[in-house]
Amino acid sequence: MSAVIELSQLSKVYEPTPRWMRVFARSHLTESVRALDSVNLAVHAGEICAIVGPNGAGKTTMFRILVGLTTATGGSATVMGLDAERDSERIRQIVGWMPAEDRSLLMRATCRENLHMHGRLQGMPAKLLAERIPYALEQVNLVAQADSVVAGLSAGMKARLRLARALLPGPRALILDEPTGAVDPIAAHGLLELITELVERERLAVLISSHRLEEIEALQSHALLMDRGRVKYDGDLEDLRREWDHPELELVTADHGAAATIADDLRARGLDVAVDDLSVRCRLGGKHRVGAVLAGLGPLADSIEHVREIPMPLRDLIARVYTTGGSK
Amino acid sequence: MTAVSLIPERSFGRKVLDTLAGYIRIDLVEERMFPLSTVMRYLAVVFPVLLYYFQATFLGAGGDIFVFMLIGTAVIAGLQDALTGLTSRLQFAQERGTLETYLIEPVPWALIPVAMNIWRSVTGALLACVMIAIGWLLGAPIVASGIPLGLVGLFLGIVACNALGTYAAAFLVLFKRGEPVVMLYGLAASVVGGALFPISVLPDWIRWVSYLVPHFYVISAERQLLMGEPIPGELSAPVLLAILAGFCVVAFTSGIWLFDRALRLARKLGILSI
Repeated sequence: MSAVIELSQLSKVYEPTPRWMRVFARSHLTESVRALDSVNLAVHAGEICAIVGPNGAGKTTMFRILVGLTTATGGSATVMGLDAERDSERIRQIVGWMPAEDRSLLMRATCRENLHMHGRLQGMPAKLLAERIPYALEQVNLVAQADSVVAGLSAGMKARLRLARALLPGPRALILDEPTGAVDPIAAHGLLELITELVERERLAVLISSHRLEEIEALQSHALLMDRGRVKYDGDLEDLRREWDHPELELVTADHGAAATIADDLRARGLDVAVDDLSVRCRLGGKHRVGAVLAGLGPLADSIEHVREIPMPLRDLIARVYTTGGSK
Repeated sequence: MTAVSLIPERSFGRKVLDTLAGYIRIDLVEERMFPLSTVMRYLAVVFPVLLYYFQATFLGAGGDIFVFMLIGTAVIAGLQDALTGLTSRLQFAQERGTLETYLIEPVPWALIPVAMNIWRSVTGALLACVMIAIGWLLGAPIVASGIPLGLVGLFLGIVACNALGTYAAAFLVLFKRGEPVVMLYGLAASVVGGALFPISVLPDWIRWVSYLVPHFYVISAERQLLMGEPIPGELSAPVLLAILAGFCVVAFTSGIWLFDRALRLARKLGILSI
């Protein structure tokens, strides 16, 4: 099956503005910045790909190249086989873009007027528009607010309206740039559930960026970890956890003496151990598996009252990928 | 893989119409939200008309001088929105962060600034007409038979100013500031366009600049048409309008081309919407 969104060796170098332009405005760059460095990616229909990375990782540049707001320096980006540079106008018709901020909406217009305006610019005939506007509003549960002025809506509703606008022309792919940025956690959860349902129902290929890692994890998606324009990891979050997770083992003992003895035993086996009151914590990984650690304690294990394995938070997992430079 | 879209392919002409209609709709929403500000805008133009009326009365200059100054001022005021609206709207969108939303639509980018300005241009022209009408109510001798061609002249002036605005928009896209170009031109046009005096009073070495700015052609043609008599030493109204039409074709075509080139460069540099 061919990919809906495909990036091949995609690179972008931002250069300082030419010298003649600096007569009128100073360049915001003093030297070249490599925003994307040979990035490869394929997103298929019905698949969500989360782009994760700190500021300056290249997420926005990637999105901007895909919708034609900037051009690549090398490699290629295609959507449904259309080249992002040559066919950008056509791509903008089959890609739904959900920008991060509410100000992309016409605040003084109603939800229906916002969709109508977008639909007309998309070239949707009046009959199609009349069918799609109620459909898009229904998809995001905004039917009751159809004739409400946008300025009076909650942040969650505005986010859903931005999603409805992206869905209106019946896109094949969605680009969601920080879709839950201004939304409270409960509304964000609802929005992400909605996105997941839509992806399955409409077989959309979705690129999503978010700084909220718990949301990315909840999407159970393909992830692309980026740092300074380079891909640090490309694969499923499940695989990432399997490959990189070093869970923490917590052993709760009956008394302080047992905790100290167990801690000494674990340290002797090369584990990094912390003792907090009656609990002993150590980070697993490598040859240290739960079973092996417990078996190695021998009769000391009798003094353990509870055993708990704590998975590594995704934040720490990703930080580990970044700090080790992608090598396990 | 073939691109499948619910939306049928559309012609370039259709895209132009959709773009213009879309942006007019945005402005109508704004007008609807702030109805009183529209009314105030039209009320405000009563005062400059009164100013010139009483000034002419005080100086004992008579109706001809009043209508002479009235037409010049009305044209300058009427074309002001067409000239400055384009860059101010674009800059507002750029600074507010909404430009990206406009650029993401599958429409020809080069048309966006003109589409953004079309409603303001029309209302600006209406403002000029209101000023003339108030002047007529105060007794300015307006020749009714000159009104149809006068409207044509005003329309051509709007097109010419939008074309000049497109040059400024190209400047804005690359340098993030369009006012220097518009301000320079606006100040020059108010002097060399002959808004309050005939350009014959200008020294020869300045007067040739008048022939380079469209304001001169619009003001001069409007005066001849609405006052009903040719101005000695100046070109006739039909010739002025023909030159203005030629200017519109050249300036509009080159303005759109320049704006398109500026967009391409900004896209390459990655500064299109920042």
